[in-house]
Amino acid sequence: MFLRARSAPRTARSASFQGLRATSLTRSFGGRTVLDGLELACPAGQLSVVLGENGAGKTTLLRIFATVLYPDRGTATVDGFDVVRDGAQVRARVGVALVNERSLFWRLSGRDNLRLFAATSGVPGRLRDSHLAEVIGELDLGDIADQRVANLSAGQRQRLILARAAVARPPVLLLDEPLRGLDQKGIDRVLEFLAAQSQRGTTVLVVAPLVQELSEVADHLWELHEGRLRDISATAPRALAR
Amino acid sequence: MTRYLEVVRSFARKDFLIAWSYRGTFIVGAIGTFYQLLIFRFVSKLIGGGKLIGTPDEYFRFVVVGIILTGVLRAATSAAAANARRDQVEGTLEVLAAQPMPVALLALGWSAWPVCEALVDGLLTLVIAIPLGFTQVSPNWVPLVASLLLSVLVFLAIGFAAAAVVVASQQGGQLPALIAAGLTLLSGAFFPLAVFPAWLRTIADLSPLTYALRALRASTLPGSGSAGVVHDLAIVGGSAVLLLPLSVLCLTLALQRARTTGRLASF
Repeated sequence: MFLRARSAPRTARSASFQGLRATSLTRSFGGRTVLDGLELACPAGQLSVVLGENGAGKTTLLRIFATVLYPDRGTATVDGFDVVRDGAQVRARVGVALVNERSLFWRLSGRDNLRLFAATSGVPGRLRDSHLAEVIGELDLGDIADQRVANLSAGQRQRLILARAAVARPPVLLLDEPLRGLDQKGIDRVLEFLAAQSQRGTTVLVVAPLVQELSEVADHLWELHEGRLRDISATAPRALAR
Repeated sequence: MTRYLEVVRSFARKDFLIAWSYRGTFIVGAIGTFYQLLIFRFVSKLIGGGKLIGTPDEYFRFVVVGIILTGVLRAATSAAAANARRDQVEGTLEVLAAQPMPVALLALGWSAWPVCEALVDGLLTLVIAIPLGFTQVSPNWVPLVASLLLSVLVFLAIGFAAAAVVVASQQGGQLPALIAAGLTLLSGAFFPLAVFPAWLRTIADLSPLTYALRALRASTLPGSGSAGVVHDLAIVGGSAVLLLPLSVLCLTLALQRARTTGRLASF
């Protein structure tokens, strides 16, 4: 009964996909209001970037959309599904990469980590190898995929976390500081990965500190300050071109 | 259903690979089992012959069944809580909670390898016990397998509830060990319940392990009497049907609480 009621496989992209939306979103920690009536609309199939200083509440926003943190007030929806009421439906649509390299199983290889999360994400066994090969190729992990995570560098782990988020080809990617800890080659690779996701019609929400490179690839750009968002898309070359 | 089995198998594989990376513990475990059996072999020579326990060989056979089932009990009751705590501390709980899978599947995944390992350990115990005197057994396979399966389900339910405590409170990792020790003491794993005073026997009657042990012994050992096996299995199965949904509900509520308090990612 519980198995059937709470399960939903990853859902494919579709023309009617509604994107991400937050309305009057509020969340506090220990009396400190981190998100204060935040409003956000990330259009389907586009790359939205939220920039902000450390502690601005960027990861909190991402955690709410990933359903691992509930808001105090307001609503957040993914494809029209509420993150609190319809958690299973939301989880079936998002792949999440939070800044936490300890979220990997360090005594396993990168490939074994990806294999586990492909299974938990609902990728059928017959498709698992092809999904793994795709993300390993896209994020240039071929040489290190069979090494234990404990033996990888911080930048390599960061790319592995991104690969894990994308392994089920979810229609939504939630990425927390995807360029963190990367060298220039790694940054270029991840930017190519983001561009490829965009071409596929994946809805991507990235949160990051004030990083110039992300501004250049974003379709929409916001700055998170004092719990609210300010649209700064005018400073983004790609957004301006739209 | 195939997808669910795939997920459980993937968790089991993950835990096996992690356990295998510390493979010395497998050898230490086997040596420990040998020592434990040797101790009870010698103890059986001291206490055998009485009205309550029978001959030394009969007591040894009695206690081997107790050792095997309490091993499964310890694994099944502690696995989910131990893995939940490990995922909390190591930082993998949050990303697991973000996966599109039911709570029951996460709990089963946490428990799959430890329970399989305990069943393999049980087989190993039998292999070691045979040259030490675990002979003249007459297994009745259908009730034997049913006893083991239903016992595992009841023990898993206790384990899922313990995992709920860990997720909700970020402590309680020792709780399953305490529960397993209490059940082992009360259920006649190492001595017959007839040695208990009447009031303690009444409490023992509330433990599902009491019935699981009785059913397992009845379906394995000669002279244990198989008349009550169906009754005992019905009680163990009924406990599983009652406790499993309740324990999954507890874990679901615990995860919801952690999402509200923001403690999925902290320890």
